[in-house]
Amino acid sequence: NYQCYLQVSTTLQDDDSSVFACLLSFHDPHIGNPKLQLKSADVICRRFLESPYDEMVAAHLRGCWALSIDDFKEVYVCQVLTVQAFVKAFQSQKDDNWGLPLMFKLVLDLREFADSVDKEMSRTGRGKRGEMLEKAADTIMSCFRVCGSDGRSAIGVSKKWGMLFLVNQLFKIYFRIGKLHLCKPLIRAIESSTIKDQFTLAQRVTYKYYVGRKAMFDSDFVMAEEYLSFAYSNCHSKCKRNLRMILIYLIPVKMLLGRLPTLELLHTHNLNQFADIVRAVRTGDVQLLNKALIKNETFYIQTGVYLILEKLRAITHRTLFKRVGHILGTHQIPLQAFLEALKSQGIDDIDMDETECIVAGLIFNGNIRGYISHQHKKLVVSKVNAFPPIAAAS
Amino acid sequence: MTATDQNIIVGICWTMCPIEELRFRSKHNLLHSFEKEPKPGVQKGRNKLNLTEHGNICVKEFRRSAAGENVSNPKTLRTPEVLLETIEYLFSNILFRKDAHFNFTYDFIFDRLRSVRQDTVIQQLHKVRPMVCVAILERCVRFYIYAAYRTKLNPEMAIDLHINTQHTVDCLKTLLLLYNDMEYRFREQVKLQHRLSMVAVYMLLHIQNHDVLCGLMINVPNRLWKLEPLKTVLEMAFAVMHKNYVRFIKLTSKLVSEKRYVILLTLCLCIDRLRVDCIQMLCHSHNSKACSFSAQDLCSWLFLNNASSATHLCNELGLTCPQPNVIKFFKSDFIHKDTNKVHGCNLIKTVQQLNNDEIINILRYP
Repeated sequence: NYQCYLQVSTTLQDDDSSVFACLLSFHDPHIGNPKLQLKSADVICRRFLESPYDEMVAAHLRGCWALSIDDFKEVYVCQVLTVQAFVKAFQSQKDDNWGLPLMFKLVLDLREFADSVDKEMSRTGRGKRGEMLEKAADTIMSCFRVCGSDGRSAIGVSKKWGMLFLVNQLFKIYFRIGKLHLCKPLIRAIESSTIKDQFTLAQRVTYKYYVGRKAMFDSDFVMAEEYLSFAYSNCHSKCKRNLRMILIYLIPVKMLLGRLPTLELLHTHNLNQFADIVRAVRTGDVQLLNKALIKNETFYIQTGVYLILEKLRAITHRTLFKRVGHILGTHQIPLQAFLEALKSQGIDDIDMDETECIVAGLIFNGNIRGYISHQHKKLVVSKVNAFPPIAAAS
Repeated sequence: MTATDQNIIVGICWTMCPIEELRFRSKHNLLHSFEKEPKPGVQKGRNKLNLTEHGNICVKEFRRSAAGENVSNPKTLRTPEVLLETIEYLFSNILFRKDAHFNFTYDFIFDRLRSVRQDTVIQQLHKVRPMVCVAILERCVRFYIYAAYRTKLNPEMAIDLHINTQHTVDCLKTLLLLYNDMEYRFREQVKLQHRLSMVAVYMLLHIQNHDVLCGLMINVPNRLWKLEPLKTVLEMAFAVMHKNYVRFIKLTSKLVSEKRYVILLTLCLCIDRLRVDCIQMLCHSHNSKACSFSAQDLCSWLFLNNASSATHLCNELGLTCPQPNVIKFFKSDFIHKDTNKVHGCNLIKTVQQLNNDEIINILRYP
């Protein structure tokens, strides 16, 4: 038992942060040791350790105790204390970033415990959804402030190397509780950083994934494609789950920019929810799009891509009208032909005015080049490039 | 229980206006004209303190919390019940007073509602009595929307729509958070209906704002999107996204026939912008020297009742009419601007049919 305290003390003397990190991590086997599950270890910790490390270790041991009796809320409270004590110590260490590995472990545990407390609370109806996560975000912010404001140290020992990890953890929380607007200052902090391209690849992939998703919600599809593509092509090829998560957003964004995925890709990543959408967009089948949107509505809403997929309606209309135009082989296409095409697909609640309006919208957005003659109910298309490729229009 | 829970201030004022404030304001002749004449019967018996004859119709003013001012004195904070009664009083007894212009009553009610909201915030009713808080905010939103609608009808009125909108959106944002926090309490039909219409109002106010729509789709639970009127309003938002204004108007008629008044009032506020956008689109899509558009046909695209208002609106946006009731759409002619004129449409007609009592009922319901 005492060995552990001595080990903590030695690691502190040796500045061996990664060993210390394991000793304070909940992903380490020591938490199962009943002798280390101590409700109050303040006194004994004070005997071996300096402040604030004694608080840190005591809070961690109390956390182990709380975990052994399944009191998640108490584990969370202890973890907050541990992090707070850590911040105190970390802040006072000038020109040194040895604590980073420890911080990563502590923050990760903090977020995970906040998450499980939240789940527990909302299951029993005792608390608001996301309340704990939001509080955890505040604690993580206190770490972020220490890291972000460390401008004076040489880059090799700068605490700034911890920023991206913390930002990613905060993104996870903000996306979970639906407060995307809080991401903006974090993104600015990273983008203005001189070392933004030198963080580890794994951290950059996570970062690009979240910023890409945020860009998608802000309708900045070009940026979304760039970021998500980076995440996709740099994500470890064995991380199937992560690849799938990236594709859930990358596929709709690419479709909107006019690039459809192959059905094999959907199949390998178990994303057949998109198969009908792809077919509908490719062939201009508006009714199939409607059906697909209804069929997988829950999946689309939960992942947040519903709105993007709904946007594909415009492209689907364009494809359909383009095909009608090709069949008729004329530059003056009667709107009646479009109306009939839509009706033949099984869309009943549509009339001439609405058809004209849809075509007008496509012209306005640059998907069709031409003009409508309202009196003659005809679309007069440009002789060259009447239906420009989607990639050019958007 | 955490430390913050213990520090919640509970109001004990049982009148619409705390006695101290009443004393102060009557002494310094600061009573509003609506607070001066005694109205027998109103709130009788409630005011056991028997102060002055003004006691029963005086309503607590809004005051910014400034240095030295103690806003958290329980004696000056009204109980949740009194807060609801106060709103009830403002709607039933003040809103349609025959002796005052709407402008004047608006200023009074706006200020007093603000103080009601302030009382709820200080007492943290959103934690202690969330359902009361929801009821209060819903009533406020409906009042703001109604006032904005009146201003649309009569733009000369000196009502600051900007501030009014700001308050509407503030209340709605708080409401949306509250709804999510108390998910389980919205099983009851009536309350659920109000929730749906508030989400719909928020959506309509931001109908051209993609981010807001996105945020709503993530934060509002799945099952609600399948319920009316939210379902229709979501379809309307999609229609606007695709510039399918004809479809938008078709869907509107559904709301008219179902008498979703609060939503119709909100629609009156946002329809002008959509009309301008629609004309802008037509200027691009029907941009040809050889072609023209009949004003009569245009009515159904713009949700207007007659050709002359359609012509009028087009002229205002810089377009020309070679012959009466024929409009030429040109990209280069179009001037983008906000129109303040009200153009008659079925929407406004439906709402105008309501008499004052019906409106009061809509505002305070349930």
